[in-house]
Amino acid sequence: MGAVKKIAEENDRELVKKYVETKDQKYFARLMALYDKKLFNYIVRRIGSVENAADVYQTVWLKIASNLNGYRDENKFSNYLFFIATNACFDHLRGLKKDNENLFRPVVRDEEDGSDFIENISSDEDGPETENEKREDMERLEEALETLPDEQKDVILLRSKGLSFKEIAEMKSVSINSILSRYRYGVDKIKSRIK
Amino acid sequence: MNCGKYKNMMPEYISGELEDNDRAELTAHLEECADCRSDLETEKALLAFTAEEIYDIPDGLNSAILSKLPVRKPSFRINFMRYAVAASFFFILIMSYLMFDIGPEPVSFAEVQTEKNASNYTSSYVIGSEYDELISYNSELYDDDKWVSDETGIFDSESDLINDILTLEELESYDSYLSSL
Repeated sequence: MGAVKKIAEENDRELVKKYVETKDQKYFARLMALYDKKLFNYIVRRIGSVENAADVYQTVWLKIASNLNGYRDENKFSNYLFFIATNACFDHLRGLKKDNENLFRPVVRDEEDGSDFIENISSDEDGPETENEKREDMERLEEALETLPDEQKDVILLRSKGLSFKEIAEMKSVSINSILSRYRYGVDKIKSRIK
Repeated sequence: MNCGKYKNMMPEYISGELEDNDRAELTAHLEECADCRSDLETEKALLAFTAEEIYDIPDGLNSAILSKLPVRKPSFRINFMRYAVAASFFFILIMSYLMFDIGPEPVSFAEVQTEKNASNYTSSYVIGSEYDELISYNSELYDDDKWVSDETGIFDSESDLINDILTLEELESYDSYLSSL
């Protein structure tokens, strides 16, 4: 385990402990600041909607705040956070399913100006051709990711947030081999789609 | 060639968690296998893409969440401490009052009467016109009250009441009579 990762975990534990003891918002705010963007982006990709992600994101943090007393110190806070987030996303998607809405609505449009989201991540240093190529690659990746079954997509997303396969397996209460298979199938499907 | 084995190593290779001997083995394989090199590049791109934080949190969302956090109610212990501090202050105030004579000194009825008697005794030593003035003043005082007490047997007349020097025993006896009525 890297030194930086270890320090981050100790910092998490300290903040959680202080918040549980004092219920002082400043400790929770610091905790949020460590994970807010990572969590929000995970939720957006997982549920496929920026607009709905705000509701799910809020639900996750409020659940965390009210359940921190039950948080066990031996677990990494990030695992606990993504465990709650995964369940919240699942609940949200299940709710959408009931409403006969499209589960895999791709989120590739910026709602305000209608521009493609890839523009937001393009580098200023890239020339027009490189930018276009990058944009096309990202679009293909995004579309391929959206077509994956939930289980495979979730493992890839959690893996990209720094969780190990073992941690994901513990979170999902399945064997590590099962998680490795989901990941491998997911990656292979994406490869076959973008080639 | 057993590419499956090397593909399983790729995630940890990308994250830098692969052990040294496995890393060396995979690196050697990649030099020989173009298909695995391509797979590795695609996998790297996929993880980099999914790890990118391109969506911004809506303005004010974090603040709104913080404002909804549960607030701890004062515990029994804290409430108890508050009451204990208030009680301590009250106790100290009462003790100060009792120990250091803070506030008006309490006086008894008997002490008042004794002082009054003392003043009457003093009047016995007043002579001449001063004595007449004192008698006249006392008469005015007692006229309103009509302390005429022939029936009691203690005082024979109004003049007795005015002129007699009342002792503490006499006053207490009179009080007893009044309370028995």
